[in-house]
Amino acid sequence: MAEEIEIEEEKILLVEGKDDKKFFGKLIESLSKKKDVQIISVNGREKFGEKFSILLKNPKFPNVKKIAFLRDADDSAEDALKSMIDTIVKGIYKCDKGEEFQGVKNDIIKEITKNLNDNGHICKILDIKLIKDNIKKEIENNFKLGELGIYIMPNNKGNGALEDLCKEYMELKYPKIACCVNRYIKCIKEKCEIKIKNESKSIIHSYLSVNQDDRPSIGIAAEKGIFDFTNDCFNDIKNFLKKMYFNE
Amino acid sequence: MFLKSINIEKFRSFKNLEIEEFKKINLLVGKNGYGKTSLLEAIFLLIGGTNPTLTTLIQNIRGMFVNTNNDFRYLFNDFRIDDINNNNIKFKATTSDNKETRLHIRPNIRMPEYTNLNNATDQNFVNNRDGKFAPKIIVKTSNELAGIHYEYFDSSDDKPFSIDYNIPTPTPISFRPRRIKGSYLNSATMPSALKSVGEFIISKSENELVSVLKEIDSDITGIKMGPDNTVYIDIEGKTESVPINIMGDGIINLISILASIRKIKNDILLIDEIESGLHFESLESLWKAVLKACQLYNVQIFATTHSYDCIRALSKIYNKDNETISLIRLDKRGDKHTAVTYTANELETAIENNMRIR
Repeated sequence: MAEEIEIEEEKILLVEGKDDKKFFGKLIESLSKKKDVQIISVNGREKFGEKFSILLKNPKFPNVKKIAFLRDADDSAEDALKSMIDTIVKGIYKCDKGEEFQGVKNDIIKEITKNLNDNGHICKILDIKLIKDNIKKEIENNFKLGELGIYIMPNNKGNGALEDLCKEYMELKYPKIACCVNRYIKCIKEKCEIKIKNESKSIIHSYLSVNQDDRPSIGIAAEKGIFDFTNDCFNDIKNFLKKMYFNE
Repeated sequence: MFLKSINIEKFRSFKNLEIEEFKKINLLVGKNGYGKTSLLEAIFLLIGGTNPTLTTLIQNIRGMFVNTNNDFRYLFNDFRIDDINNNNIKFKATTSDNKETRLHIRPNIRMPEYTNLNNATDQNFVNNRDGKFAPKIIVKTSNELAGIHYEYFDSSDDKPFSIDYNIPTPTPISFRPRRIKGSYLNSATMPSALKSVGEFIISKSENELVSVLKEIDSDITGIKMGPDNTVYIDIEGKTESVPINIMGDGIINLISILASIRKIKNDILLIDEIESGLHFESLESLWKAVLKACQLYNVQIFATTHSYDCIRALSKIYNKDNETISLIRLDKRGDKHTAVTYTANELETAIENNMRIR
C-alpha cells in the first residue's frame, strides 16, 4: 500500500498534476532552501474542490497557516479564477455549518475576488468583511489558516497554461531554437492533416526533445535544471510565491 | 426507523458532540480513547430510551460490573455527579421521519445525613434569627449515588416516560415499547447472536448465508442448527458437520452480523470493531454482504473500526451513492470532541489518492 499523503507543513501549495508538482517544487527551491512549502497534486483540475474538501477534514489541517491554489487559465484566466474561488468558498462553507454563510456566499465570492485583485491574488481570510463574526471566531478558534492565494498560469490574465510560460522562457533564452521549433510546428500545421490540440505544449515538448538527456516533461526538465529560474519571464509567479510564503 | 443526526451532552468523555447527516452505513473511526465505543453506547441508550437496564448492560459489555449505584458515575462526564442541574446526560436525535427523540439521565444523589438529635448536646443548639434556642441541623453532604433517573421523550407520541433506576432493582421494570429499536454487537455479544441463525433456516433462506460464507471459505456448502442451538457448518469432502465454534472468530462474527441484521429488520444495528477476526482479504466480502443485507432488510448500521483495510474495502464496494455510506472520524482538541464526516465520493477519492482520513 502506498504511503498516505499527510499534511506535513504549515504552508501548502495545491497544483493540478504531478508534473506541476515537480516544476513548482524546483521553482520554490530556487526561492528558499527551507523546503517548508508542501506541494500537493490534485491530479486533475476538476479535482481541486474534492481534494480541498478532503484536506480541510484532515486532522492536521488546523495547523495550516497558508494555502495557495495554482492552475492553468486555459481559455480564460478570469473564468479560471472565478471557478477557483467558488471551489474555495464551497470548501470553507462545508466546514462552517452556519446557514447564514450560504445566504451571503455570492457576495463573499465577489469580495474575495476584489481582495485577491487588490492584493496580488493573496487574501487574508479574516479580512473578508462579509464573513460573519461568529464564523470568523470559529475559524480563528479552530484553524490557524490566515492567508489564501490563487495564481492562474501563465500570468493571471488572458489565456494559456504553464507551457506558455516555458515557451516564453525558451524564446527569451534560446531565440534560435525557438525560431526553429516554431517553424517546425508551423510547417506541420500547414502541410499535414494534424490538428494540434495544444500548440504551446507541442512547441515546448519539441524544444525539450532536442536537449541531450531524455526530458519527456516540463517537471522532469525542471528537476534536471533545464530552466534558469532567474530569467525575467518567471518574475510574476516568483513574486506571488515570495509574497505568499516568504513574506517578501 | 433510522437516525439522521444526534447530539450528545455530558456522557462519558463527551462534553458535547453533534453529528449530522447519518447515512444507512456509518463507519466510525478515530484514535484510541476518542469515543468511538462511547458513541455507539450513546446511540444504544437513546434508541432503548425506556429501558434503563441498558446502562448496566453497556458496562457489562465493556467488562465492567455495576455492583453499587455509585458505579453509575462512570456514565457521567468526568464522573461528575455533584451538581444534578448541570451534570445531566442529554441525548437528542432526529429520526428519518423528522421526529425528535430525547433521553436525559440524571444522577440521583443519596439523601444528606442529619445528626441524630436524640443525642444532641447544648453544642447542637443555636440561637436562630428570632432569638429562639433551636437545634442546629448538621448536614453531612454526600457524593454517593442512589441510582439514576431516566426521562425519555419521543415527539411522535407526546407522552414523556420517566423512571428511577437503582441497584438492586427492587421489582422488575416494565418498559414502554418504542418506535426505534436496535441491537449492540461486539466480540463478547456476537456468539450469542448466532441463535438468530435459526430464523434463516426456518424461512429456508439459509442459502443467503452460505453464499456469503463461500466467499470467505469456498469449501463451505451448508449451514444448519443442531441440538442445544449450536450452529453447524457443512464442509466439502467432510462426512460430519462441524460446530461453528471451531471455525474461527471471523466466520462466527460474520454470521452473527448477518443474522442480527435480519433479526433487527427496519431498525438499527451497532457493531463495535466490525472487522474483528476477519482476514483483510475477506473484508470486501464482509461489506458486500452487509450492504446487501442492510438494503434487503432496511437496517441502519453504525460500526467502528481501527483497520485501514476495512475502510478501504468499504470504499471499494460502495455503490456510488452518497446517500448510503459515510465515514465519520471522531477528533479531539483539548477536551472538545468533534466529528468529521466524509461522503462516499470523498472517501473513494481519499483512498484512491492515499490521502489521510483516519
